[in-house]
Amino acid sequence: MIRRIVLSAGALALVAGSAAVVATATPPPVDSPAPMSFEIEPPTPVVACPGAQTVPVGDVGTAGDLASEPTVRTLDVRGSTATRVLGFGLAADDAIAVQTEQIADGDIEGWAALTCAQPSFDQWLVGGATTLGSSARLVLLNPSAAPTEVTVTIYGPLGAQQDQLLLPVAPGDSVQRLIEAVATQMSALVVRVEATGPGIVAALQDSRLAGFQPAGTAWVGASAPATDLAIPLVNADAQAVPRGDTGGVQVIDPGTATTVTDAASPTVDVPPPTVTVRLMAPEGANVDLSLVSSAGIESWSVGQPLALEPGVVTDIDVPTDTLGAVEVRSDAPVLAAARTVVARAPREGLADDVAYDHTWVPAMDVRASTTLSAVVPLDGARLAVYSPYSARVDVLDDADQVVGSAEVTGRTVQWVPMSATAGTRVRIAGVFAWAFVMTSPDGYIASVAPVDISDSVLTATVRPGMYPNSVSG
Amino acid sequence: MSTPYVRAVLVTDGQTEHLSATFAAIAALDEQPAILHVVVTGDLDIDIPEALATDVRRVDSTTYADAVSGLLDDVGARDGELVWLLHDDLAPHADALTRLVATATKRPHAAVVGAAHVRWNDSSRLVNLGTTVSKVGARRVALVVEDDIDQGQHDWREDVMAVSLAGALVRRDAFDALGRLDGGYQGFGDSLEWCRRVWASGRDVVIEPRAHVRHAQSGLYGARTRRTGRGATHARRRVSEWHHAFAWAPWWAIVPLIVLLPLSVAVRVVARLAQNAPRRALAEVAVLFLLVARIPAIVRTAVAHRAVGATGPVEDRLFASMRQVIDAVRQRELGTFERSRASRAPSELVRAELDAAAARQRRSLLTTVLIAAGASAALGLDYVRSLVAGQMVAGPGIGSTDLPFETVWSRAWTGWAEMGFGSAGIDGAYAGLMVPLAAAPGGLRVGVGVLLIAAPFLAALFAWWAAGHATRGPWIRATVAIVFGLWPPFLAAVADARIGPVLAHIALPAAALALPRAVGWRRGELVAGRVEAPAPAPSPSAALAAALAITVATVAQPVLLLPVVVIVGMLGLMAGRLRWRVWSIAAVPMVVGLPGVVAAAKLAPDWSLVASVLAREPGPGTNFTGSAWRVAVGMADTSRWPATVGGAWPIGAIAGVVVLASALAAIVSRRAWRPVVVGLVVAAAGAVVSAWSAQATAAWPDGAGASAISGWPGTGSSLVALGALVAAAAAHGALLAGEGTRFAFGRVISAALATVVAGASVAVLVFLVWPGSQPGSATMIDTHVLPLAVPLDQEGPYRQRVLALTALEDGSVAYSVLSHDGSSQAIGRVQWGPDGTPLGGPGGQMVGIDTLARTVAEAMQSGAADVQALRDWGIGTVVVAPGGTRIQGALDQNARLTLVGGSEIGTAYRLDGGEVSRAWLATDAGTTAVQSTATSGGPTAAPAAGATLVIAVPAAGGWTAQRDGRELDRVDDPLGRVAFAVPAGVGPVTYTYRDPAQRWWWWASAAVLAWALIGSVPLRRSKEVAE
Repeated sequence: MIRRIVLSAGALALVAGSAAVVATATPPPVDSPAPMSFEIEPPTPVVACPGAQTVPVGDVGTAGDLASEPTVRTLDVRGSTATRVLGFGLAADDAIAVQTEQIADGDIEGWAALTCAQPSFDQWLVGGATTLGSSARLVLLNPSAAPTEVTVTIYGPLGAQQDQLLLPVAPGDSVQRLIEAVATQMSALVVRVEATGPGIVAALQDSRLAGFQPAGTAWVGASAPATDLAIPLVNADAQAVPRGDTGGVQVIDPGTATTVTDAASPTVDVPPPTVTVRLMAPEGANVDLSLVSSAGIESWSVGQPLALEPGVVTDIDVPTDTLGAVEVRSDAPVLAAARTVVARAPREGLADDVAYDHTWVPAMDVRASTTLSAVVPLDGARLAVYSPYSARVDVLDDADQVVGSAEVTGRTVQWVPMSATAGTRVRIAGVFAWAFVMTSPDGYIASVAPVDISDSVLTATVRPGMYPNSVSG
Repeated sequence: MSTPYVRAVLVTDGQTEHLSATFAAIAALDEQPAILHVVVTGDLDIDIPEALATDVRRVDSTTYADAVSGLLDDVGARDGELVWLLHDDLAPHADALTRLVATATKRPHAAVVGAAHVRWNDSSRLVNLGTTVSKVGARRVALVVEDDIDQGQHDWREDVMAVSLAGALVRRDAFDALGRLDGGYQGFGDSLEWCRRVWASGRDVVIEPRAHVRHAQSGLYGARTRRTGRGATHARRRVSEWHHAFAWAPWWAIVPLIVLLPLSVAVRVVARLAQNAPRRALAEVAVLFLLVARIPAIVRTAVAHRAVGATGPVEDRLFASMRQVIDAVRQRELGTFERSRASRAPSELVRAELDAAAARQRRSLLTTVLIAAGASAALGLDYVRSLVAGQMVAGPGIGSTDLPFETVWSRAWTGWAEMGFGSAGIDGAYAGLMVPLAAAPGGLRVGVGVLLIAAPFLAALFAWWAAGHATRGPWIRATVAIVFGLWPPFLAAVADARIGPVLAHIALPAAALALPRAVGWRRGELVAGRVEAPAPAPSPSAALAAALAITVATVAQPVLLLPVVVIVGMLGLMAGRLRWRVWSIAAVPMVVGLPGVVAAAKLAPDWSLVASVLAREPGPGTNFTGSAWRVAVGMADTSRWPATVGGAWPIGAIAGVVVLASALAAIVSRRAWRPVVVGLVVAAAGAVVSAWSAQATAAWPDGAGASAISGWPGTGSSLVALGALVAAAAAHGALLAGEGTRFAFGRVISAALATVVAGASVAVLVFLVWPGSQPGSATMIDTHVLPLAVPLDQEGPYRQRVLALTALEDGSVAYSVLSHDGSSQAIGRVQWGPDGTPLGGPGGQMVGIDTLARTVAEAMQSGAADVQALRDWGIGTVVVAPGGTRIQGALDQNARLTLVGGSEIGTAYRLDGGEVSRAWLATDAGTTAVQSTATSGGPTAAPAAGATLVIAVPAAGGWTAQRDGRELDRVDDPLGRVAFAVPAGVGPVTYTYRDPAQRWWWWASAAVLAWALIGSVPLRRSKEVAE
């Protein structure tokens, strides 16, 4: 009896004790194989330029009343090394280069310029349209020694298009696709280019026609989504020009390239430049837009934060008649670029016909300090700089010489006088958004945006793991 | 016709207590022999009744045969003389001699007339009524079953192959002519020998079944030796049988007999171990050696056959038929006759009740089987589909489960784990547990899959069977099975493919089934409140089966080792005279688990580390971060359920709460308090194990890519469930035996609770497999995780390794170094300590795969990366997992790599610049690859001028190399690999890995496991064998 009571009580005590032990048990902190990061010397950089612009569709040659193919054009690639042919583009063993093209006649008459970039894996091209008279030609260049597979996703006013383009690009080769072949009647486009393997250089040729008149051609370069952006250059008018030396600008005489006898009347009423801002938030966002000029904040507002649906591309007209910059503030990453359209009197055509040229300037992240570089595309190209804060901007060349300098008041955009000649690589460090613009009195316009080439050291993070299911222990 | 002259010869060595009774019996004979010679071997006084006419002689003989022969030589012979051979423990009945003489007179051709031997203490029970032998092997076959009651049923017998010469009447002329007793037999089998000579010489051997002699068989039972019991003379009797077989075999049968001999010994040893008669097994082994010593005697016997003319044929009918041999084995070895005699036939009424009870138990079993099979099918449906489709179980912390048998065996045999660059493990026990799965058809892939599928079924089945010890209530029994088979932490372990905890959960009820069986703790079937079908006798086989089950559980989950040993120790204290049998159960798991205990002890006095090593996770598993107590009490993890039923969480807690409450109520009820206390102690131990596991670091990073993990408290939860169910079921078993309203009320409440608990358990299962649920982290994937051609290099003569790269979502890259088609944690972790050194093995310098981190980082970013470090560690191929296209971009541009193919399971690149190998001979002129396996290499011709043998494994102890049989000297390697200086000379180079401690442990484990395996075979044994 006593034994039973003692043993039973002992068992109950054990149960109670063990319950207390297990109730207070907590798993220990455990080690996982720590990720190890290494700084890797990058391989020799290589850039690619998309090459000459082409008449996208309806090419009827260089003769006849409706001749579309340009007969007079100039294509220059400026950088510090020699170029080589890469498919229908060009490549250079350099960190940066710039391509400028001036086309004097045909359907794609106008100026176009682009900073030739290094391959990357994921890039957004904000610009272009595929409505009637508009063509968007995507050029993909693979300057590396390895093949790559490119996935192209097209975003329009109705959001992302379901069908993606899958394009393999051989090493040292290029591929082009007309977006209108797969996405018709899109008044506003954003193209995402994702690449495998060594990455890809992508550019979009945005060429337009207004009836029989050229309505502008331009290259659209890569943008990156961010929450605090500025587009440094909208409505770069051809007048208030604090130009430096203009001797290098090749002013094309329209008369030398035309056989048309029925010249347009010089009394045509040329409309003022127009500016459109294109916005797209991949995951949706609420966006505030502000317009600033050299004088400060302009009175322009859409009235309320703009709600962007995910993937929906939105164009907004900007009412400005002077040099301006657009500030974009968002609660989620957003893409933005501005299109400036400059009108001119056509060299030939019916009465009241107006020809245009246009250029795209991408938005740049102004949240943190960066060092952006560009190559001066033309002698006489002007540099517009936006700063969110009052600051001094110094433009340095490769020899760290100041080739341009100005005091920029906060939330203004200023022209910065430059002494560098075409082909000079320049860089600006700080929280600035800037771009080069080239215009001619004849009504041509092109711009070049800088890129970040400061990543001289790559970082790679590796960790030991199991296979398959490497991430868990 | 005159009365024949009967000369009685009684030989005594004085070492029997039956001598006076023997004399008394002789004195009481109806008819006295003409003379009684009492031959005394040794110096002793004997008391002979005065009524007997005796001739006492003292001789120096040491054997019966010599004593008899010496006497007969001394006294001479008479015509027609009959010799009555008597032992000092043999008491003839009063009419025995009369009957023998009558038969001898009636059968003049009979050289010997044998008497029927009966028990000394019970003359109604027969001991010997003649023997015969099998034609091959000379197995002695008795013509009656020992202790058969003599009811005259054998009185018809006359001619037999042999009779016992003890008490037999022998014709003197024949006795002399046939060489008398052959002393070479050393007292066992000499009667058979002489009788066979009789038949072979054309005379007869006759038995007189009605002439009874009481025989104490002092010689047979070893009364004349130090050790008593029949086992004491077993080896000599077996040797005599072989002596007879060889002596009588024709010349052409000698070689087959020699071949047969070791086979016979081997089979008999196994059978003796299975009968749990280890002494008898040793005796069987001794037969071989004793027989060698007997060879001269055998030759003498064979020569004697020719000398005495005993070369004629013997009638076939006299030999034992196959049926007689089989019957003899069943009766003499397996005790069939004993059990049938001991069995008790119940009355018709009771039998009907027992049949009804059996039918209820069958329905209970059927219910359990259906629900458990349904659970297995529901939980394992995806597994089944995928297994049929050729896929394998995978998931976090598992790696590949499609590893070849050789790999599993190599890990179990050498203890060397081929993970990362390789490392010694604590032991190969866990891999040994996987060996049967890998050996099954379909290999480890199917073995692991089937184990996981069948786990709920097996656990429920064992639990049902074990519950039968505690209660005979069919519904409670089924409920116990359902609750245990569907215990939520167990189902979670199945769904997460935690192989160790799953095995432990299956093995624990198997142990709970076998251990009580070993000591006879089982409730008999009740009929009207009386036990009518008592529990079977305690079974030593069950004890060894329990040892095996506990070994499986403790190898699968080492955290169970010490608690289970303590519990077994406690049960031993309760087992009375069978305590050593119970305590011996712990021996097997302790031997097998010893390396783990040693590894833990080395970390003393840091007791937290010691506890962690003892609670290590030897196999696959992931980190546990939840609440240990919820797992311990068996609460279901509702995060695995569909979101729509998340509110039904109380259902997931019902089983655990009710079972634990029932266990606590059981001790208050004071019914069956001993098993209830045991159950509660087991449950308490389970809770401690849960806490212990949860707080322990069950594995530290192993240098091969596996993360550290904390232990899984579900193992302790299995013990909690087992203990609580033991307590609850035992109390219910007592409830069934009680009578009255109170007990009836208790039974109704029990049944109601059982229904609720079983329903809740099934509901938990349903929630777990309902569409939208996330039962666990295990998945099924294709068996090839590397591109098809890559494993050929891994298994090829140079044992190349593979670097596998996986791009992670955060932009980093995970890399693994593989010697197989996937990581091999499924056959056991490496188990390094917190300081990055192996917990087991012979020590030495260790290198983890993090030494390759920079090379990997450079290779994934830059086409100009130098990948020589891969070659230095025997890596010949780089595989990029799907999704690693950016890595591919860099590798594509690397001139030191060649793209060899891509598929949906990865893209492979091969290192350029010559053959990559696991080991090589390095000279100034270059390298020569050495053919290798996982733990050995060569022979490979080495340069005559000497070289350096480099093995691409960390410089651990245990690696040795030889050239021309000479051990090579280790040299330092800048990368921390194993390297040997190969001196100038000729001859090939070989190398191997051997951990002496691991090898000793392996053989010790193999021995105890073989013993336990054989001994657990429920082969019955007769009382004779058990002695």
